[in-house]
Amino acid sequence: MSRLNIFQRVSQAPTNPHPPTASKNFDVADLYRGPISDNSASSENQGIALDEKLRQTYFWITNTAVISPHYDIEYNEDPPQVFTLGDSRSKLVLPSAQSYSSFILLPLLTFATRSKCLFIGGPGRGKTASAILMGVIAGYPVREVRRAMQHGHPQMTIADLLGNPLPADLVNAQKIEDIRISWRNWLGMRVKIIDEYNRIPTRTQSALLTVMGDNYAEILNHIYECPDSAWFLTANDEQGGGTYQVIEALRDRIDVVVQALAFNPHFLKDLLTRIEENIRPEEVVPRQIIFSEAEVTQLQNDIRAVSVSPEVLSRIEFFCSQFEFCEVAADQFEYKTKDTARLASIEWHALTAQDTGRDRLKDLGCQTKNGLSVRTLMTLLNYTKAIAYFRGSLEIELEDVRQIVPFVLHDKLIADPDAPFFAAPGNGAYRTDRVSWIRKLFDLACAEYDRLNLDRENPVAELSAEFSKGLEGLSAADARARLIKIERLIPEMMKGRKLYGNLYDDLLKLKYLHQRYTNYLKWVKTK
Amino acid sequence: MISAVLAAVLRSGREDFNNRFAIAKRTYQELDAQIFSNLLAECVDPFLQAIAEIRPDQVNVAANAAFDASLILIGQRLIGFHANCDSFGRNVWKQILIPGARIFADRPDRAIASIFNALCNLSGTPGARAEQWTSEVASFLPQCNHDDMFFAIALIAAWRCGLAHFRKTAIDVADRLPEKIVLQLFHANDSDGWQSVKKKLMENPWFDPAHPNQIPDHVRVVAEIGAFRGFGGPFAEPPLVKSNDEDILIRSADESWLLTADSFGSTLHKIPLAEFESGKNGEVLPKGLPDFSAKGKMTSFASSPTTLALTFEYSHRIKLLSLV
Repeated sequence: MSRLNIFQRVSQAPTNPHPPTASKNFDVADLYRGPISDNSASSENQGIALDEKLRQTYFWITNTAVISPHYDIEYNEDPPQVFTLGDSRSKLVLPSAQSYSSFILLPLLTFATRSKCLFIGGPGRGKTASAILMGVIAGYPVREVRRAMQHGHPQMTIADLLGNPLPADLVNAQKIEDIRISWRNWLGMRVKIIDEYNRIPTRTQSALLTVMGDNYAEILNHIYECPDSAWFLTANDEQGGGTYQVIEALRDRIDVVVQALAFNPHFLKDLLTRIEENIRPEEVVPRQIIFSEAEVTQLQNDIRAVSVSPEVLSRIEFFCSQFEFCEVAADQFEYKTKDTARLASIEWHALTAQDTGRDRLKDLGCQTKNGLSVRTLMTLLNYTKAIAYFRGSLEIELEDVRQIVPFVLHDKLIADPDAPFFAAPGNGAYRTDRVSWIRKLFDLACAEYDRLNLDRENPVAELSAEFSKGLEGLSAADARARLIKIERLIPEMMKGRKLYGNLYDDLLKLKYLHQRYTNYLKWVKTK
Repeated sequence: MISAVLAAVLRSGREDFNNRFAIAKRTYQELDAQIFSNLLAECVDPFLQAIAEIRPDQVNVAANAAFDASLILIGQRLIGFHANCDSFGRNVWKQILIPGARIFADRPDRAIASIFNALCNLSGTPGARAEQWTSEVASFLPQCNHDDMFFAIALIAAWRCGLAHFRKTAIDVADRLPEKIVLQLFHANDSDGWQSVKKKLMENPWFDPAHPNQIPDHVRVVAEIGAFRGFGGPFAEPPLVKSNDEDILIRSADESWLLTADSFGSTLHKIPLAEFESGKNGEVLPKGLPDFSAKGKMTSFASSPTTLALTFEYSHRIKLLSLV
């Protein structure tokens, strides 16, 4: 018997916030598309664009499956209405453009990009339910998704996680290659769910790390290559505590962290309907929003094709350069990073106590104990492209970066709660509200970018652009001229200024360019 | 009184059908159980009986599709007791689905969804003639030997009934149909031949094969489109026009559209304002225009290769003149 069709209604209304460019060649299928679903047709046959399908999926989940009436990813076309409320001057913003719930959108983007998403929040808030939905959207039956879900517990062994050698082979084998392994089915799935990952013992976490990080599992020299997949992990304690400390390498593999927000009792009626109708949304997912493997692969390709303008990229660079620099960490210029200090096991307060004369309130780097890894930067770009794609854009907007960055850096950027910024009036909430804090960091970085007028006057960017045209045919004289330009720029940049993160990275870039021209000059002279 | 076929289907899935109705009732509070039952008995039942004679294995598929479609159509008041669609809705069953069961039996769910969606699209397009479409496609049923053929005919009929944006697609589809059927669809003379008719259609959007000799040799008004939004039209303010060389673009207040228009009707399609702004104003008015002084000052004009569009300061309507 077919499923309850009202739950399977997929929005036929346009979900794209941008008015589309009218197609000059109107598709035959447009005549036959409307409020009645044609369950006999796959989405390919119905000619639905994948980004539209992704949006339909989002709206089906928010309207039908997960009661998440939160719009914490806020977009505005016009200035929004902002209400200041309460003694603590809390701001309630009414966005003026289509906005989204992070609890629904981020997992969906994770699904589309085959990345890794961690759900955090108290028990019973829908973390596992959301993860299961992603498995169903990937085309797996609900039962299979539930059975394949790995539940973390303190007694979980590597064999529980990955599989077992066949006992008969263990007895009879003369060499290790003769032992066959019975691998766990979940390893071959394209949506992998680990429930309560922070209850997995440390030894087993290491095995999980291999699968998450390198996409293969290994038992007794036998390798199982896993397919590319989206990962959904849940944890109750956002600090990674729980029963076991989560190893840092495993935490670092997670791409985004999403918090399950509190349930609004005004929507109790919807819960009551679920109980009375005995409906589980994951069991009535409409066929139209099931993605085939080929479709998800195409989604990834399409997302990768979303472009990033030089202006937006420049701001992302500026923002990311704020955090790693630590002037007192080393003598060698390249080693003046927080990572150097951390590797030397220097106490953090010992570092911060050393006064370099920088404005510790203005310096964004003072707010964090670490910088950003390459992996994090790649994740940031990937998810920013994904959200732009979801919104129907072919190019990233700055607002896309601003909305995504807190979820990507949620567990990656570690705040220094003793930093003067958090003690400033009105900033206390940022100690606990990590999403708002990271967004604030981004806003402050953009403000500083504007103050420095880097869109118009950016000598380092100009030199980089000049270099990127290539060295082919560059004469020795020109190379020398460029070297002199760099050597003159450095003292000019530092004139009376303290060394901040962005300047530090600029100087390293100048050193890089200088070195490349020096090597080139040497080579040209030998010709 | 329903037939044994429908009774058997309803009996076997009683709980599920009841649940579906209950949930639909929650979504569509004006969903009327009596009207719904009447529709099942009057329209769905005969359809299922017809399907049962040809493909008994598809009866359940047909029943479920019909049940869910009826919930949505009645719930959204597209048929049942919405005045515009009441007769259409029943006519679709009685004139198309039931008589056409022999060609729809293999994929009844596709037929139900496609036909009702087409009906909704026609009914929802200002100026489109849904009733005409229903009777036209019904008249071609005896000549269809497959549902794909029916849907091809239905597409051409939809174009002829006012969905002008399907022009190119429909002409392509017509190439794949028997010539006799295509000429009948266009009420063209058999002697003309489809290729000749097609050539004229491609060259002149204002050519009507039913009246092939009505092609004057002067610029003439062929259509007036649009109206004030307060009177049910799309334009909040008197519109302006530009062109992108191929098509006419329209702007009214802060909205803009691309116009598709021909002798069978016209449709408007939303476009970004930037696309309108990048269009071109008309440069030179052709000679021999009718006198429009009573309309007030002309506020804009633009042309495609075949059509001139004029707008006036006191009018929310756009005059279209044929240039061919």
